[in-house]
Amino acid sequence: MSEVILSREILRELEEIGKRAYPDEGCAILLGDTQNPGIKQVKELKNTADKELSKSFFQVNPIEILDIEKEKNAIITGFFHTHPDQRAVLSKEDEDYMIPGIIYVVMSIVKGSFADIRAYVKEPDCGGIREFDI
Amino acid sequence: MKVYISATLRNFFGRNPVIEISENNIKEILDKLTDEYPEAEKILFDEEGNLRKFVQIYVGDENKTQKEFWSDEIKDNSEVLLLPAVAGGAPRESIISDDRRKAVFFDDSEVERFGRHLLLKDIGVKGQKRIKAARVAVIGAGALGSPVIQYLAAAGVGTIKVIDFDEVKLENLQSQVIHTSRDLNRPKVATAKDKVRNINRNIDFEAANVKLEADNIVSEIDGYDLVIDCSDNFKARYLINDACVLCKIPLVFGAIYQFEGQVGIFNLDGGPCYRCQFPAPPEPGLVPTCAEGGAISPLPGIIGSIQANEALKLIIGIGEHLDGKLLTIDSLYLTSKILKIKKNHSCPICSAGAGITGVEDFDYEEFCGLKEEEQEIPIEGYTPEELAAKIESGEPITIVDVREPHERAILRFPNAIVIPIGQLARRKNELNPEQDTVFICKEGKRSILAINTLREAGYAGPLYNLKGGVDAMKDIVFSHEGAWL
Repeated sequence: MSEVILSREILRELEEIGKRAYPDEGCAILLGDTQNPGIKQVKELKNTADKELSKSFFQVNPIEILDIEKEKNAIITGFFHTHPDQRAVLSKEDEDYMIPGIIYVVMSIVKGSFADIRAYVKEPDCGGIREFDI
Repeated sequence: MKVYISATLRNFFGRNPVIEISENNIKEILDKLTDEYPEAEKILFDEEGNLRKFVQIYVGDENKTQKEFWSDEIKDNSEVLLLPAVAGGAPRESIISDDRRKAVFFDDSEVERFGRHLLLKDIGVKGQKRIKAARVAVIGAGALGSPVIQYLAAAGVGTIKVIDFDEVKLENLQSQVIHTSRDLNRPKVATAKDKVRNINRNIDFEAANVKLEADNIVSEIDGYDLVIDCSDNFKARYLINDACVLCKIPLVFGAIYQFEGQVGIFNLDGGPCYRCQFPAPPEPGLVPTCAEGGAISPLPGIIGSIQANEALKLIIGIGEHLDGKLLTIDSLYLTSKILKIKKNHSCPICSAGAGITGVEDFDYEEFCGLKEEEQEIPIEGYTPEELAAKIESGEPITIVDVREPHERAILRFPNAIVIPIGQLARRKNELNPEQDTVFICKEGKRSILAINTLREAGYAGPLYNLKGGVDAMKDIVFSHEGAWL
């Protein structure tokens, strides 16, 4: 698989999340379901990073992820976050936190509007990171 | 004990959401899991055996990821959870903060002057403002310093400090293109100042005509965004590196030798430092200094230009940086390589539990072997005048020249026998213990190494070093003319 398919609705939802969070980093979880793997649903997550840092960091409480897992019983396809006024490129922090096999979608929101969106995945052996076409 | 595995991590644990484990502390639970699912070990732990950042361990609703909790006993009815840490951050673009950038303004002449930068999409007004806001300290106004200082000035760096205690000498003009014949015997920082002011009067130039030591380096570089190492000796390099780590300033490193050069960036955002790659300098006398080794004229121009380029990229916030990497270039065959430098987690200066907390605490002279060691038999030497007198008097004396063949071709020492340092121990029988043996080299340093080598090999005859080497002898004229080129 070398590409990620995002429907228009999903893209719009992600853009909304990013714009709402601006100038802080927004984040969301991307869910698929057992019949159709892929990204079917988006659920916004709370950025729990410190107030001063939330413009350039994001952090999610693992218990929130746990609750979603138990409640939805859906497949977690990936995670989404935004880079306010920065490029949609992975930072070192982003890379360190990537779980192999999970898709990470990064969106660049510049001055409150959508600028760019990219998707990445870490190789299963924690080797390299590949970019996917959207 | 039930261990819940997050859906995000289940693929590595046979897709099981819950695994029953009989162990009752985290350490043992992790061991058991990786035993049963060997592929999971690489996922959970990195090469150094530390838990990877994206894994969090909870017991109930308490976060117990830190290693200090791992041997705590867990009650039987608790649930252990392996959850994902979802986090990240935006990349830091530039070492110049947005506030400082926003405080910069340009007049019309600057807009015209930096037109070529403003036209570039990747630089533009934002980038040029960062350049003007930047404060850079350049250590060394010699071979490497020449291109660095000039290009940083041309690019419009707002504040440039140049630190060098030396004066311009004739032999510097072969490669230190910032200096000219008119500058002979002037302090190098003075010509640097003139050059920068001639390029752009509005640059804030600070000249520091000082020798950097442990007691002054921190005050010289503190408050600067970037330090560029254009020095030429190991003591300076280690001193600069350590001070940069302690002051949290990124360091752009450069070095040249004969036809090869290196450039790298150390200490950027907690990256590796010079000591991570080179924990200790080579034995003194083993590696000739630039003064002894030589370098082809344009080489420092190439390497220094790359240093200036890397500095500007860091300031503007574009491109890929030689962050924790060493670029090596061979100018003779035009080949190059980029080596990755691993951060040393037990580095004495930049690791978490570093032993060195202040440069004043560290003895750089001893570290670089510059201190004259307590010799059992001290090394005696002759000054050039004393040696000349001895030769003139006709006293029987053995003179051993330990220089390289190309050095001897420039200036031959009359009546000297030639023994390379590596062959000394083997050829000690060629020396006569009944008479004085005097060792000569270019500056008087390798001859000390030669004497120590012979002493260790058991030679007991009288050995002397020519103080200052052949360089110091240049002004002495011998009665047997025609011996000099």
